[in-house]
Amino acid sequence: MKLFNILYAAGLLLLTAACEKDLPVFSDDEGFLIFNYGAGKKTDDATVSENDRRGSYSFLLNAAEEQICDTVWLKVNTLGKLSSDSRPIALVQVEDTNRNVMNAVAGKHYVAFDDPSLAELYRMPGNSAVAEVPVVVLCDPSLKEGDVTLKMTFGDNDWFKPGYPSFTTYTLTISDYLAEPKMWQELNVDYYLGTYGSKKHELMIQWTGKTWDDEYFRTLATYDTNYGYWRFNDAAYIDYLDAWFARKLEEENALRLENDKDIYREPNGKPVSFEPRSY
Amino acid sequence: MKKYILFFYLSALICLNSCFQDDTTLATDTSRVGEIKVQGLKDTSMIAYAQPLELTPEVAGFADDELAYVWYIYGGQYGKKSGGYRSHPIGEGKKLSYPVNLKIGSYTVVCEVTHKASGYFTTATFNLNVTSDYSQGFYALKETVDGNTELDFYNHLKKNTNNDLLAKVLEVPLDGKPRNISTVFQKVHLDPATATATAATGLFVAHGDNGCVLFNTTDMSVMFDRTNLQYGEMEADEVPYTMVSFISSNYYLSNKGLSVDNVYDDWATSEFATGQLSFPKGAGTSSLVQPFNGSGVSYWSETGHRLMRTAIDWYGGVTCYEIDYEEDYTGLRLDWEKAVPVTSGWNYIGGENTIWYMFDVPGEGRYMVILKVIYGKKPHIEEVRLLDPSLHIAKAEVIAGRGKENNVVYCIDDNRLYRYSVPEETEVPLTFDRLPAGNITYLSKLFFRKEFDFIVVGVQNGDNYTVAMYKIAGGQPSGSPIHTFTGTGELKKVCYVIPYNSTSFNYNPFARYSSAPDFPY
Repeated sequence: MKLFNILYAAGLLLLTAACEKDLPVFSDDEGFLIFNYGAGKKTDDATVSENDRRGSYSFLLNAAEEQICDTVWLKVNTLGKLSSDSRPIALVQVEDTNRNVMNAVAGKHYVAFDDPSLAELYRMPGNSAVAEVPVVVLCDPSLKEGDVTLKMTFGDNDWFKPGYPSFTTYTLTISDYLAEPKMWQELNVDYYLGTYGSKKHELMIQWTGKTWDDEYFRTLATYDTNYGYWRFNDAAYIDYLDAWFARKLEEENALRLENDKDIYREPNGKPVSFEPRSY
Repeated sequence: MKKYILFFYLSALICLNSCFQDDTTLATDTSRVGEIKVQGLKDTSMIAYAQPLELTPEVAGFADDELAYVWYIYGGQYGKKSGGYRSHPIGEGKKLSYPVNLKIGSYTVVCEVTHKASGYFTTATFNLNVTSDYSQGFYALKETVDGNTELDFYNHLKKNTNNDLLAKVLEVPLDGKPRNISTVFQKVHLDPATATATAATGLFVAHGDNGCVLFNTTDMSVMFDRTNLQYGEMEADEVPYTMVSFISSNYYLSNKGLSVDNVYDDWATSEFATGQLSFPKGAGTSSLVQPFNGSGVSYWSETGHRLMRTAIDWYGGVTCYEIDYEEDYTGLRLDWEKAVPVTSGWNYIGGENTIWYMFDVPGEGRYMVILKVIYGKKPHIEEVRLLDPSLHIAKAEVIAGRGKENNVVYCIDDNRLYRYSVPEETEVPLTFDRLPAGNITYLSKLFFRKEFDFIVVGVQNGDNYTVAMYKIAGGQPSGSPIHTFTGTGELKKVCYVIPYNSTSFNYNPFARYSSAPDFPY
């Protein structure tokens, strides 16, 4: 009889288990923020590299001669429910502890994220999951001597928390000289035009009238979503440009030598070269 | 009582378990659908905008109303097979009647046969080459009576000849004497209608002192010439020599060096590619070019007086290197500075590639420089051989190597054919059956995949030439010529064109499980 009771109870349990309970409607109001690193960079970590989390701004390349500040816009996305309210976004600076890095100073190299004048711009509009937030960079004279690094993340402000850790930092290098565009590495430009040099960069700008910054490189390339990286639209064209630069350099160096001037050199004293890096 | 209760529950469980409908097909009559065999579909060539493609597959063992047929196409103008083969259906029903209103190119047709009762289906595919009057056949490069460059075209499918083509499409022959022709597969260029990249089989013609034209064999329009082949202006003293396809690249060779672009179907070719080239790099080349291994070509450098090779880097760039002797090489060495190039060839047999270059050295004789390429071994110069001066090949001017399934070199001396065995260093005389009278001025081995393998001989008789193509059996010309065609002028070279899509041109001979080359250079 005992066994019968046990079996009866087990049958009842099974029947109870079959009564499926409706799952609750998602009701978590918590919001999260992540940086939007660009097309094809989905929230699975595999598509994101350290290069995606970095950018650069050069006053020499992008600003007028007397300009003392400029704005870099960063795209951010929300995770979680939308809100009809406009919600504040908190950006905070994080110290970059890498050696040889000079961290940016609020008020000197950039306008502090909590500066009241910018408060209205650090907001996620109502019913939106995307916003662009400003980083106002300041042209301090020290930027001519060396660049500074502004590493930032999201603060927890009751409205938003930082989202996926691999999508919550962005590092901006600020300078007033020519800095290596991050696309130089993304596109393996070393293998086409040789290793990066600021004098080389300056000559490329001078000879072509193009900035050869990230934005310009993107016009020459496509992000391959199948393979997950950038590649030049026509490698033969970049090869041609390399040969053209090399010839131009040879001509100009010859002229300089005729006029008792030194050949073009990088700041470290090495001659400017367009010899592609060999594999 | 306990026993009864247990028995009751066990029975109930078994009963519940039996409430299950067996809908598998394994144990039913429909199991035989696994035996659907579609036959009667063969690779075929059609001329665009001419006859429709009509065919009916054979499927044994099923009534017609048991099966459903759907036909699909990909490749050519429909691009790569991305996302499966079902993007472009072209017909339903067992009998296909499809008007071939397609761009010239290489297509794949898929016949999908579904067993209606079970839903089980199988597919059969075949290649469809869509051609034009110019896109598949043999081009003969010739010098006109007044010393200019002309082409004759022989359509081996229709067995007819279209003579003096350039006078028809350009209104005049190309200036100056002919220097070379070669076939370039999947050559990227801009489609004027869409301003995006497209591709066709090209015919590269080098003429005069420094002229070159790359014709689109779809319609014999000019794809590129020296005014636009490169992004920059071609230097006045640049002499284009040839252009060849190897693996997934097209190589352009001139006296200034070598430049490379990717073939259309290569993964790295974007819709923005133009097909224009960078300035050539490396030492000046020559028209003597053969593969080197599975990653680059070898060539004779006229300016560097060296045998050179290329290597394609992972990012698509090309680097040129000298070819060295093997480390422990103790044999004859050639004085490269005195070497006068004669010809080159590539013989393949059973996984072993013999790539050879022939040179005359004044006062010494004729040398054969042999590169052996076997999978897994680093290729070097394996042997330098001074040819026995008593052999005809040591003095012949008309020589044809470029063989597959043999390691022999054919030559013409005193208007007679000889076969030189590379491994045995011996020579035997051979004959042509029904060869027209005249001087034999041209000889080559031409083949294209499994389509044909011919000894091609050109006979000059005054201002007229005849080309005769013989099958090969037992290493010699077999029977009467399969094809002959004639023209006026002095024959220089014959080459074969066909719309052909691949990203591994001639790669197979160098692969681990190797097979014969696709075509010679």
